[in-house]
Amino acid sequence: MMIFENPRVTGVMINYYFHCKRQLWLFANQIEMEHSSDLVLIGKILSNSFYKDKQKEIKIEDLIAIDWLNFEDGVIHEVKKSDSFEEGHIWQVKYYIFYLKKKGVMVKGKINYPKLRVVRDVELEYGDEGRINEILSDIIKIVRSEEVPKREDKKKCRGCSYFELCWT
Amino acid sequence: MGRPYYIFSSGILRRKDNTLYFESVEANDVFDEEVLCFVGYPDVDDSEGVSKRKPIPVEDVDSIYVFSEITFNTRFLNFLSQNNILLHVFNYYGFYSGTFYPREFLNSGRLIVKQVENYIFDDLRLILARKFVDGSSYNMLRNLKSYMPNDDLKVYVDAIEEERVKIESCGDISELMACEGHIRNAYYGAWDLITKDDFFAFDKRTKQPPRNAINALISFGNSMLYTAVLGEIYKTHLNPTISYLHEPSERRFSLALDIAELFKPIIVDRLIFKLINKKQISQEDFEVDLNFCYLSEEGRKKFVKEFNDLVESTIKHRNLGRNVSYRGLIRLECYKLIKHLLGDQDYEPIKVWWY
Repeated sequence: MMIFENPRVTGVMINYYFHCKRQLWLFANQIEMEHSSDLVLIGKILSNSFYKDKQKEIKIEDLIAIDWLNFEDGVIHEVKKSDSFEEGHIWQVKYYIFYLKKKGVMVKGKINYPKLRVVRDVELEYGDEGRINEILSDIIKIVRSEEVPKREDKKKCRGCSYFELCWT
Repeated sequence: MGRPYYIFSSGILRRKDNTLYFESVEANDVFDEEVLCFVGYPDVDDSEGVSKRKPIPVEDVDSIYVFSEITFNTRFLNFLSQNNILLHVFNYYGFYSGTFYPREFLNSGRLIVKQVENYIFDDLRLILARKFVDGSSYNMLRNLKSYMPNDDLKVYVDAIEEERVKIESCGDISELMACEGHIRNAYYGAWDLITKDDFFAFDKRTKQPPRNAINALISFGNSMLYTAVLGEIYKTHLNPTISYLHEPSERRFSLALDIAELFKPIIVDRLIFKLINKKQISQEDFEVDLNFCYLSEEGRKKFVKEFNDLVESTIKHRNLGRNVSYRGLIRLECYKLIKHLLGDQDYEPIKVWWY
């Protein structure tokens, strides 16, 4: 099973894989950009100020961090600050569902976009598991590479916490 | 993002719950600019009129500079560490003593291996060391040229330009250091023509201790810059002890010395020219002893205020298309270095384009 290999693939890495391979490489090689990014702060504030009553941040084996879980209907929730839908968000949640399924827990997923006031359903569909395995092996290949993937289109980089690093 | 706090009056710094407090040492002290000089500190709400404590919201603190006698305990230091706040201490004469540098919170194994690799291999180290000399001498040259058409400066400009050509052919670090020394001598030689004030006559560069007023300004300014650079390195994954132009053993955080070289002309030297030429600083701001000279407390306050204003001021960055502060430029320099070390993009030092 790919997911138990090193380097271990986190949910965030799945999201980055879709957003930008360079971001994925930097993050996986521990060049994280947490500090002093206002956007990261906004993300934290969003997560802390919305859905206050929910049980939050369930970490499983330091690999996936579920924003909150509803035990009654078996739905995991992922909160995104983004004001646009992204493929990476969906695959991140699909990966969580997939991961939990391997552990013997069946769940469904929802992505909450509080800024858009939209909730989107996510389920593991036919063929998704094969695709996730492909993604995982691709991610491992990228992050082990000596070379940093080249930066992408500047327009896409607006709002990315790596913007200054990549474009200076 | 927080900002630096500068403390000029004596007292106690302590942690209470999740806030920092400054308590004046004298019970009757009033909290005003005279007692406690926090540059840019927001007005105190003293409607009660009795509070002897001044709260400092911790999220607002980037770093703390202590120029006075301050008491604190390990609880306080632990709190700084938790919040990734650097504490810089200066002694009675305003000379830099050291920094409380909290545990590193950003680490990348891959990057540190690359940092070391680029030091160990002489050819790789020389590439980076040359860049630092190239950038800093370019910025010195730019300073002199911005004071043209003072024709007398031309001989110094020529001397630097002549020397700069040799940077590429320097075969090792000591040759490069010698080249840098010649450039710096020529550069300092021109200062009297820029400042035109006998009290600030240069004579020669003296440190530990500085012998005259201009040297006192340079030393103090360079210390302030060093701490600012160190603070920016701390917020990146770079290890501050591995350096390229300077020997890693030279100072505890010698990478800060390397990066500071680029910004000395841009920040410190230009600030000194401005303070002297606009007569913002004068003889009264110095204490002159038998064989050394230092800034008085008033002089330090003025300098720190102006330094802070300059470092926080912004310019339009061409590549980013955003406004970036001078402090931000220091951080960007760290990022460029990271990209070089990771083999992503060759390092090009900052060269002033905006003055």
